Amino acid sequence: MDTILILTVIFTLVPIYFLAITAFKSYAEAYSVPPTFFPQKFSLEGFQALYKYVGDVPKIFANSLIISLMIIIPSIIFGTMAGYAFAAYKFKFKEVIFIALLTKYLLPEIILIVPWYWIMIQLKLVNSLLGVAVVDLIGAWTIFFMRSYISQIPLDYIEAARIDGASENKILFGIIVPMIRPAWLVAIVINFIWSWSSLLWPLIILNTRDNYTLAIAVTFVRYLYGSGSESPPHYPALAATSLIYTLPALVLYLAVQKWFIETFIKVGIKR
Amino acid sequence: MLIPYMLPEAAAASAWFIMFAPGPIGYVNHILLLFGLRGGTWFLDSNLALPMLIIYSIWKNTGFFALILYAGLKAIPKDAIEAAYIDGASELQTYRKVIIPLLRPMITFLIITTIMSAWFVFGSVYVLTQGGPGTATMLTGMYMYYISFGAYNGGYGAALAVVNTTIILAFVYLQIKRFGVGGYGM
Repeated sequence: MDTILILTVIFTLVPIYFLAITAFKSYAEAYSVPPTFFPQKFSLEGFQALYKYVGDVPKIFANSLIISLMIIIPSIIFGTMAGYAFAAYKFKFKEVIFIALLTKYLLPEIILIVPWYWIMIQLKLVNSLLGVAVVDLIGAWTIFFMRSYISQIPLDYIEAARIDGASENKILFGIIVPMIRPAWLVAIVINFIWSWSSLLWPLIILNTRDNYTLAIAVTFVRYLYGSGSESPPHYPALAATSLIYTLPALVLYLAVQKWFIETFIKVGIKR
Repeated sequence: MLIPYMLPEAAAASAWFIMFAPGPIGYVNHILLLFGLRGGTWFLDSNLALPMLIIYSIWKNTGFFALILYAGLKAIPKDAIEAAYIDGASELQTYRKVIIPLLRPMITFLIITTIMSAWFVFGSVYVLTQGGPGTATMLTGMYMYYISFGAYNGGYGAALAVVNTTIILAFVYLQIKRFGVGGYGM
């Protein structure tokens, strides 16, 4: 059993290791035969090439960050409110709305990009960061997650508060909100990772280099030297871009990992 | 184990692309040569590209499966397993006849969800092969992107989208019917 675990860990982490070492090799060394498993000479050539070919890297990093924030904040706000509504109230059309939301969530991006793009043209949001974020402001997943989490709170709390004469607002903000902070953290992490990795939609809607997100920058570097046999790909640059791109997501996830899994499982048990 | 799942697609795909670089410069090829096996061209080989994509997806998504099934396992009441032991079941039998049926809903959920997301996989295909040597890895998602935004044939692309939407809605219907609208926390 232990060997399996060790092998699994190695298999899981090996690609990241190779990514990291390739990022710090020079272009020439990346093409050395045999390949070195640790850079003989630390070189920042990859990063330099990145700057040269992609341009304003910090801005691109900021773009990704801004889009993530634009998605996370409304998702949490509206997700909590909507999740609470679904969990605690009965209202007309509740089932219908829920199914509509569910369907939207389950429909894959690719199908929706053509209408989205058309709408963005009408709204004049093409090639803008806002245009990227707008399509997922609702955060359907967040709503479902909040709903699951909130529905685990015993109704008695809410009933007691009502009897004591608290207004609905007070119930939501005074009682529920403090109790669901762990869920918020999970929601933030998931939303961040999801928006940070999203590739398809930003790829389609952003067309000036300065507006790119990191994901697009990675694909840009990937196909830089051509995927044919004429010019071999610039591995260090690709690794460098990918490294910059991965680090925030990786660090964030590792930081909350233990606690994240716990909360996730608590919600899962409900079913 | 969950770590690959949390990595952004483009970066993880790039890591694999780098690892499996064709020719003697690739890491994996080098290791294979050390064992006396011939290296290959991996993502540039029409026969290997698709299996490689599959292996990449397995690497990336297994953690998620593990997470959900782990949650499911935790929810199994201990009494059921104990009762099986008392009745004299061996470990394998317990596993097959008790645990798996109790995990059935999770497994079905995972199967349907995976079919849906694999159907439209785009990010990894785009970064790794863009359709593969020739059209070896031209999957549905990549194809729709290529038609609509590569070949600029919007009409055909929209038609593709409609057909695929119908297919996907069938799966969506399956999901909703089977699991009801409750507990869609994941």
